[in-house]
Order: sequence, then C-alpha cells, then structure tokens
Amino acid sequence: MTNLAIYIIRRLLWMIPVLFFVIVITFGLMHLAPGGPWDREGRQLSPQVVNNLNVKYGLDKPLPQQFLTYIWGVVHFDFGDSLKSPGQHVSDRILQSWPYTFTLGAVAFILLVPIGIGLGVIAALRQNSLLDYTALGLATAAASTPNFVVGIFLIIVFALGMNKLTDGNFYFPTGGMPQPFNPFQVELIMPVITLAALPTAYIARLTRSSTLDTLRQDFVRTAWAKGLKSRLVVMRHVLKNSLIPVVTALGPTFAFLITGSFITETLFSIPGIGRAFVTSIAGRDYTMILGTTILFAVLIALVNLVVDVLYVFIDPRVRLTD
Amino acid sequence: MHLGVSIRAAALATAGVFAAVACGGGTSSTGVNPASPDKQILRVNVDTEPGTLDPTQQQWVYEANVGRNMFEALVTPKADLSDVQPGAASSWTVSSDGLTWTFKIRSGEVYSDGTAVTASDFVRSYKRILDPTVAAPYESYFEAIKGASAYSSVDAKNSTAVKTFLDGLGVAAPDAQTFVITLANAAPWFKWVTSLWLAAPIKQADVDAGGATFGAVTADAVGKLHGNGPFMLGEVVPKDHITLVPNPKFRTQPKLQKVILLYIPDGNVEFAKFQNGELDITRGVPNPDVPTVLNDPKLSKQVLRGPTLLNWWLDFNTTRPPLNNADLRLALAKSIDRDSYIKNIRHGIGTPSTYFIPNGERGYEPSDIQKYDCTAAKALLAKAKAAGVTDAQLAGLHYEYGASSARKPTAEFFQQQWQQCLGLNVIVDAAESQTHSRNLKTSVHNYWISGVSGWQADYPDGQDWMDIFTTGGGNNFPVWSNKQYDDLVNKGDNAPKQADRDAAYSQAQKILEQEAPVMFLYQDEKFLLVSSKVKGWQRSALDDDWIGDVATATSMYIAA
Repeated sequence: MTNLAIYIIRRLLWMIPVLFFVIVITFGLMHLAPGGPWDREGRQLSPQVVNNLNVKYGLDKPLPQQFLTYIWGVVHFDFGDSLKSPGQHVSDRILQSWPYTFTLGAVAFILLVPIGIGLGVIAALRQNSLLDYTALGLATAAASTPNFVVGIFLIIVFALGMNKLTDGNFYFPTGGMPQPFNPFQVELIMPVITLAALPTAYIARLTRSSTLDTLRQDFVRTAWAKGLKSRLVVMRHVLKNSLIPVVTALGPTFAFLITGSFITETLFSIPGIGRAFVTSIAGRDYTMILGTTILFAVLIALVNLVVDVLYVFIDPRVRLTD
Repeated sequence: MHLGVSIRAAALATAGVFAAVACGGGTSSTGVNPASPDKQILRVNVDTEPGTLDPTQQQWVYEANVGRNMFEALVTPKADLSDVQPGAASSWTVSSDGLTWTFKIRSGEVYSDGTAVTASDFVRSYKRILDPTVAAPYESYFEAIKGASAYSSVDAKNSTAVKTFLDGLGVAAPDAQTFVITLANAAPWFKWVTSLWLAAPIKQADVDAGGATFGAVTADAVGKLHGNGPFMLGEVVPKDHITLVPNPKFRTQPKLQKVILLYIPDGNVEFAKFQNGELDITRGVPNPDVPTVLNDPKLSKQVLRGPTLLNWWLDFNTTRPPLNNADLRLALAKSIDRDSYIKNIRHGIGTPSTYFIPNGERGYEPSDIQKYDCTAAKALLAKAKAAGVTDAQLAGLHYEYGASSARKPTAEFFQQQWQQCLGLNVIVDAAESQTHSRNLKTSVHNYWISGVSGWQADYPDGQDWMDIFTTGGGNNFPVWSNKQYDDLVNKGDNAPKQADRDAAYSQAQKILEQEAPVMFLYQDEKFLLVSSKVKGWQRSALDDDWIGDVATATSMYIAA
C-alpha cells in the first residue's frame, strides 16, 4: 500500500475515538441542560403520561445504562427513534432533511470558489486600482452584513418589491422546496446568495492578501526577471503558492455550508438539517441531537481529511506522517 | 418570533355563530362562484410538522389540524357552541344517573377504504388513549371513564397489569352499531370529551400493519392510514408539507380538491409568503406589523379578526414568600393598566381581561376584582406589609419569562407598571424557554412571578377551565390550594343540573380572582390574513387555526 492509503486509513480509524468523545460530551451536556423532552410551555403532560413516555423511550433507566445502550446502538448503526416524531428513526429523519441542506450548501460552494478566488486574485494583481477597491469594498460589505439582513433584503427587493412593481408578473418566490426537488430551481437563488455571501467575501479577502504576499516573494521576482509570460507567472508561480492558505480555509467553509444554517433555512422555508438541529436542541429531542451531532462530526472530520490530502498535491513540501 | 402561540392547548373546532362577527371582508361568501376543480387548492400554514398522524398521540393544534380532517369523532360541537351534534354517531342517550352513555354509530359510516366503522373500533381507540404503553398526551380527559382513574398506578412495563387495567375500563360494544361508555361519576361535560378529534375511530388493521411505525409522518403513510373524516392523505413530504385530498367515501364531499398544509414556523416568513401570493391563510400577523397591515389598502381587506377562547395571565408562585400573601398578589394584579398594555404593547389586538372563563363561552363573567386601580393596589400593599411582608422580600421579586424578543416589551411593561404604581423594583429574567418551563412545573416551582401563561379552551365547558387551579393540578403553576375552590369546582364538575354547575363555577371564579394566584391579563383575538379568493369559511371562537369542524371544511372553496 502506498503511504497515502495507509495515512487515510489511519486517519479514518482515528475518527472512532473522536466520535466516541463527541458522543460522551454531547450526551453529558444534553442531560445537564435543564428541562427534558416532555417539558413544554403551556399545558403540561400529567406526571403519569411523562412516566409512561419515559418507559416507552427507555429514559427511565439510569443515565450510564442509557449511554451504553446508545453506544451499542451506534455500533450497529442504530441511532434510535426521534422522541418528537414517534415511529421514525433518527437516521431517516436526518436523511429527510440533509439532502436539502447538502444541495444548497454544495451549490453555494460551487459558486463561491471561483467567485471568491477570482475576485481575490484580480484585486491583488491590480492592487490599489478601482477594481481592487470595488472588490474589496464588496467583500467588506458582504463580510460585515449578517445573513438574516441579506436574506430579508433579498426577500423585500426581489420577492415582495418586484412582485408589487410588476403586478405579480415577475418576482422570485420566497424559497421553499417544490417537489420534485432539483438543484437548478429558481427557489434556490436567494437562499444560495444569502448563504454564500459571507464565505465568498471571506475567501476573496483571504485570496487577495495571500496573493499579495506571494507576489512579493523572490521567486516571483525571478520569474518576472527571467522574462516569463505574465500568465505563466500568475498561474504557475503565484496562484499555486498563494492558494495553500485558501484551501485550508475552504475545508471548514465547505463543512459550514453543508451542515446548514438555521437562519437561511428558516427565512426561505427550507426543511434542512440546520433548522432540524436547532429545533431538536430547543425541544430536547435527545436522540435527534446526538444523531445530528454525530453526522456533523463525521462530515467535519472527513472534510479535514480531504484538505490534508489535497495539500500533498498542492504543496510538494508536505509529507503525510503522524 | 411568534407571539401568542406558545400556549398551544389544542382547540376543538366548529362552525360558528361567531362567524358573523369573525369574518372579515375577504370571507363573505355571497354570490361568488367557485373556481374550476383543478383550482380548488388551499395553501395553509400550520406552523410545525405534526409529530404523528396517529390521532391518539396528537396534542398540538398543528396536529389536530390534520387529525380532525382525516378523522371524525362520535360527536362534533354545534355551531353556536351550546351543545354537541351528531358526528360518527347518529344519536346517543344518557342514563338518568348520568353514568351510562350509549352512542349509536351512524349507519353506513365507513373509513376511506370503504370498511365499515364499528362500535368495537371505538372501544379499541378509547382503550388506546388510556393505554399506558401508548402514553397518549390527552389521557387525563378520559379518566372520567369507569376504571380509568387507576391509570397512574398501572406499571407500563407489566403487560398483565396493563391488560387487566384496559379490560376493566367502562367501554363496551354490545353490537356493531352500539358503543357504550360507563363513567365513574356523572360528568355532564364528558360529551365534549367525546367530541375531541383524538377520540376518533381507528382501523385496527392499520394499527396492526403499521406496528411501531403507525402514524409516522412519512411518505409511506399515504394509502395506509384510513380515517372516517372528510379528507385523507394525498401526499406527505416530510418536513415540508402534507397534502390532503377529499375522502371519496365521506358523506359530504368537500369542494376543495387539495389542502396543502405547510410548515412555516416564523411569523415574518409567513407574512412575506402571504404578500408574495404563496399562501392563502396565515396563522396570524407578526404583532409589530399589525399597523402596517391595517393601513395597507390591499392587505386590510384580507384581514380576518375574531374572538378566540384563549385567555392569558401571569402566575404568582404562592409557595414563596412574600407571594404567599394574597393581598400582595392582588396588589400586583391591580397595578397593571391592561388597557394601556393592549393599546401600546399589543397594537390593539386582544381585550383586557380580569376574568377567568373567556368571553364567548358559558360561564363568562366580567369582574372588577382584579381591575386596574392604583389607589386600591397601594392600600393592599400596605395591608400586606402590615401582615409581615418586608421590603427586603419585595426587593427580591423576579419576573421570569421564556426568552424571546417578542416577549421582552411585555416584561418591561410590567416592570415599569409595578415601579410606577407600587414603587417596586421587580427584576426581569429572560430564561431559555425549556428551562423556564421546567421552573414553572408544579413539582419544581422555582420562580416568583412568571409570564405569560394562558389556556385555550379544548371545548366550551367551564370544567376545562376550572379544573386547572384545583389542588395538585398539573397546570396549577402557582401551586395554589384552596379547599373552598376545590369543593365548588368538584360540585360544578359533577352536578347534573346546568344551573347548579353555573352557580358553583361562578362562586369559584370569584374566589380565584380575589385570592389572585394568577393575574388575568387579556383575552386573545384572532388576527390573521385570508386571501380574498378563499370563500365559505365560517369561523367560531373555538377554532384556533384555519379549519373548523366538518361542515366548515366541506364548505370552504376557492372563488373563480
């Protein structure tokens, strides 16, 4: 086996103890939080019904036993039933909502990489020009505007405003996920912009400063001096080197995008995992909280692994060792 | 972000005498022709995805919205809320001692697959409500049935004990058309319990085939869950929507061909969707937008305002000094200017209330006992101080509420009013809502003053309200106990004559207002948007959401 394959297998095996600790910590915090799945505002369940519900879902057992039962289930890929949706497995609940979030996040990512990097490189190459200032201005504005402001702004202008202006002939829908769902539907435009605005700005700024750094390096000066064409200098020498920090940042950005945003999903009525996660925490849906946390932990670990492997190809100095 | 929906006691539904008052311009149905069948699509927001499609386990309004369209109980409330009328049962009789209730199942009553609804289906579904292994949330309403009060002592893990308990319940089916309920005490209000949507017949074959997944809100449920209501499942897209379509076997065919129930929890998003033409009926209007809506020439015509049997109050923890002093509690209650609250904080939505049983229901009595009167409040405070309430105790009073930006102005309003009238500095705490709920629990009661709690009628009978504050009641957050109140409520709950019941409840209400374990605040009002093309909607005060009883669901249509 090659070094790379061994490295990947090792890293994957390391995920097991990581996941175990994620479960331990989540399980502990979750049960430390006051209130339980049967607490609610307003009308209360009778104590008898609460007892019976606890029996039904095994919550009457001592916590260590509940924990071991859960771990035993996880080993068998059984994440239990959602406490708030009787008769439905947590894994099914997650599969109902994660595809929406993943699609939204992936579309946003596919758009933000070329736009963010492109803006950053152009701004750096034309430093202190009008182009640079415009790109930098846009990026600063996007980076400092919270996504609920972006989202509401888009809804007011492109949905309600245009609807009124054109008397209902041309306007954007305020989101939602018509069936059958596809990644090219018009409903995705506004949520994608809302979700991608901040990371795009972040990537653009990072690319710009990293590119500026690289441009000042000796080897770039050498490349210019030996009379290479500017395209070659930029593509072969500048870009390849300045992208290393950007790739590092793209990993977490991708993980952030595909784990969902409560605000974007709520504003645009997307039944995604971000909303489901927040709802399950507020409702103390223990099994859903754990299941979603495990999914997020796996996703983030995998994305980090991919980034580390990508380094090998981008930066020949990197050797994969433990 | 949603106001007034945290207390979601599931309401019943009926078409209404109140409809005349309730309906805005958008819902008058005179002289408008229905659009073609393919346009008979109604898009409604129900706020949240139902946890289950099994009526037995449903408890929230957003679940009842689905349940009561797919299923029909023995009886349904009458339009004027005065009594119940035939539903799945065509007639019924009550024995002279008030204990034996005999229902005759409507002949030809069938499920959506054509199978007959039998009396034994009701026996099983009533037993299911009381089955400890099912743990149905509305179980306590059915404890009036003979043998059912033992529910709390049955060990859900002991299958023999469960079986013995269920076999001993006072429900029987002497023949396929006759369903007999035997009660432990004469409880005249029990007719309303039989009208609850969850007391619906369930096809045993569906339960058996579904097993642990029976009622799960998945695409799989379509065609596998058969009800006897006007609609049936057409499509289930988990987390996004449910589409209901007419049940071809129902005795009256609805005009609507599709009812799409969407889950939009955020009021601002809902409002945007309505304005963008993506929604036909909203659940409300974000309170700060009320003036905007009323001033908008287009939106104001689509407003529907109407009464609702939902009353709001503050809880005082009567176990904690100094709030164990009734004079102090009444002083706090009398120092809040509710008119100003409705006008300035609620944008005019709702009516100030200093009464318990809400307006629009039998038993409603206007009362001045808790009325805003700063002079009287000061005198009561002085009296409380004379009885030993200290300034140090008063300085330690906290007002706790379930944190949300919408509730903050309310908390600040109370703080300012108590300061202004009584010179008290009440500390305001915003607690995370689940933590707040835990603090309110009668077993924990870790709070001083809590706001805002409320109750929405399950059915228009005083019993539903009066039982709340009896000693040991699970919703008696103030942990208040008054023997005289308990006795009067017990009398009112079980007296066969309505006049005796009324008198007992009336007396009990006065004690409650005077003792002030709670401070009544306001009776809510429905303020929502209905697209002008939606016609034939008759709303009653008992309705919470878009749908009324069977007659209403079948009468709604989309105008051409």
